[in-house]
Amino acid sequence: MRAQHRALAHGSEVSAGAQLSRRHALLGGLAACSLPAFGVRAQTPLRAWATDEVAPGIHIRRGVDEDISATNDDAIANIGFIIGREAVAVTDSGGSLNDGRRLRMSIRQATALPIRYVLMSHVHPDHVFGAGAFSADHPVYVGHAGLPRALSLRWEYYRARTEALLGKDTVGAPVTPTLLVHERAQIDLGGRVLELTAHGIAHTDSDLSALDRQTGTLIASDLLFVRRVPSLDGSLKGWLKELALLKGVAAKRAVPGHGPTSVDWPLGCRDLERYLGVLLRETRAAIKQGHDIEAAVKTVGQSERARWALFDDYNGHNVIQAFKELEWE
Amino acid sequence: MARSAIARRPLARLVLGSALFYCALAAAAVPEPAGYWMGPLQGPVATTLSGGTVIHTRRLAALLQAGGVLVVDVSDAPRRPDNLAAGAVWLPLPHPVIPGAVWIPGAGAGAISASVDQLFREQLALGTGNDPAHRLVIYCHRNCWLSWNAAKRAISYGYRNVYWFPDGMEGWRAAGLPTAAVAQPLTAP
Amino acid sequence: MGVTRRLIAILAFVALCAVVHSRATYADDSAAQMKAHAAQDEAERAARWQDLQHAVFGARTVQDGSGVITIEAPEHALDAALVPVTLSMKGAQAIKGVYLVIDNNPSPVASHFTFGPRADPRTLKLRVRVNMYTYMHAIAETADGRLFVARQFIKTSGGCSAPVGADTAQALKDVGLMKLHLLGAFSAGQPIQAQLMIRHPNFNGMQMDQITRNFTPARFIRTIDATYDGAAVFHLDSDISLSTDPVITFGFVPDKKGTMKLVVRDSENALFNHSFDVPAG
Repeated sequence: MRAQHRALAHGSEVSAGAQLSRRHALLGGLAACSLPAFGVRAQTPLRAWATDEVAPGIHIRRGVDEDISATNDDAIANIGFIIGREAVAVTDSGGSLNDGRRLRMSIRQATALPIRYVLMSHVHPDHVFGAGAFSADHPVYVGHAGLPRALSLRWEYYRARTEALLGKDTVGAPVTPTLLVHERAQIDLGGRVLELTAHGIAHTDSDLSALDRQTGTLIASDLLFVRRVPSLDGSLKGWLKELALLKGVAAKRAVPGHGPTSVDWPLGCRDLERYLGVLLRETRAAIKQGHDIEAAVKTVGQSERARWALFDDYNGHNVIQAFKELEWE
Repeated sequence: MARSAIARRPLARLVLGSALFYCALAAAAVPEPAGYWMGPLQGPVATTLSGGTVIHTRRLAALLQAGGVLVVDVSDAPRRPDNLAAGAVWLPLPHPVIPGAVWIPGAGAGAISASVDQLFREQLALGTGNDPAHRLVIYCHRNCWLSWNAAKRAISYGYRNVYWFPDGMEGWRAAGLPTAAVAQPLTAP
Repeated sequence: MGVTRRLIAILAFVALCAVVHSRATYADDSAAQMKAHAAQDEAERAARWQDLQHAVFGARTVQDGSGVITIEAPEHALDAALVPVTLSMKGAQAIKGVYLVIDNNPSPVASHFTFGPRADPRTLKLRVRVNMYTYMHAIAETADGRLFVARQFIKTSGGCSAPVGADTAQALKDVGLMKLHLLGAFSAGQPIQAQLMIRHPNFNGMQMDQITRNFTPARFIRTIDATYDGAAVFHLDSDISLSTDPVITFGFVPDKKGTMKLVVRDSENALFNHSFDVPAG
């Protein structure tokens, strides 16, 4: 201690050097150890997501076809961004803050333009729990007019379930859209206009799609599932109706909420329409034949089983939703 | 121009840098509201409580062992719906608490009614023998503002040794400490 | 100057230590409220059932229900807010009524059916909300006042706190709408099953909008009375454990063609009634 004092007092960096480097290491170590105290997890540093440029200026990160787990950061949905001449729009922010942070890194690798809009395509957590990762950009959060209410009813419920798997502070405080779309709206990224449509109840009661006329690309989000089984959380008949409307839209490709980052449009919704049609016909038949809901869960949709990933995780639930809706016909 | 004294000292630079780093991190934390927190009750909470002491699990366990502490749990109770049938059985599962704690669910709201205020004052007086220096620990859940509000309220009543335990039941359980079960909360009439 | 610098160094060092010491994190348990009760063991479950048995039946003996009553429900319910339950009472005993108890629900007596002279109590189906992993107990009461119990363990959670869905909004619009289907061919004097459907949100008052802290106010069905040509089929006492848009399948014995009348009363004292021709048309 005395030697150190003398070294400091006399400004002798050479003789203090050896002691300083030990202390340096000690303090550095302490600093690193206390980082977790501030919620910075000791883990491999975040890296940007690899994305597919499905059309000029439209970059999409494919979600894994899995359910949320402790090792996938809930990065299970297709999320991405669209670059205009002046600004960037995020098309869904991901399933956790880390998912969103990594998307943000991908954006910064691609452009320095400001992130002006973050679209929130519907209420499900795998699409909106990354929203907080963009707060420093002060973007306009955009959603269906019914989304604020849906989020307020469900955010904390989903957050508790997500954090039980991913850990503390992986989701953050609720984010509410401020630009609300009632039927149609447009946002301009600088010579690039995205046309937004607020849909009637379909996959959920807060579905928003975006059309990039420049490239004829429909950002369908969860109005479109490809290869990974759809999940019904709104209205089966409504979903079929909205799909029929979307098929008439002037787009040659679509970005599904789950599945490959881009499919032809309208051909790309063929499998989805078929599955929803099977659900509709077979549930109606079961009701007509007087089957109970629990019997219907076992039989409806089974012909589709081999054609969809995660079928067993969601089909039963879809049948229950369909049954509840159709038994009132 | 000579470099500043600080710049010449790697040790001082490191220490000052670390201190500034932590100050920056602290600044990013939720600031203490001037009044009671009136916003959404679940979410990141303040890290300080003026007039009180923030306490964490290890120290709390030691404090309880020393004795002479009143522990108050202000987490929510399941709400009995109005208009249940007269004879209906309303029996939520027993609520886990830190052993010895009293459970007063309403005391942590941003704004409370006169009857809840009276209940809280009475229960605190009862549990502390009316001694404003008696140690008081208030908690609920992690990331929940109820206990911060209730602790602030207790300080406003004149209690001088108020401890706020922000990690709540989750922190207590995560440390493997035992819990007791309380069947009924204390509520205002 | 050296002293000041040393003081800064020591203070910062102490501050660092304090930060590290006081902010050690623990494993997250943010779903603790849901998980806490999942950690019940068999002894706790048995104790809970004892408490409930006492609360509902007092000192009356409750016997094992083998041969008298069975309860079926999916062990892993897909939708905790819609768990289909089937109660079968196919033994020789005359059944006066049946209770369904969902042990870990805060309002555990999900329903109590009392059967009238026109009832065929052998099969009863309903849909309930299950709040967390729990035993369900079905207790049949015979005409001579004895109690018999069967049970089923259900693994699901969140049925009571599940956020209000799009279907409940629809339910409120059509509240009180009813349908009745006969499940089988009508034959005078022969027992037949019927399915009753009622549009009602059955808000339980525990569904919270977490941001505004407003709970959707409770509004739930309290009683249902079914009578056939004026003779009682069943009376149901119910509350918040019944699912949105209840669907109840029950049996009755129509002596001749006639009219089934349903009277539904909810917690707002709203009264809904409907009469159905049997057979329809």
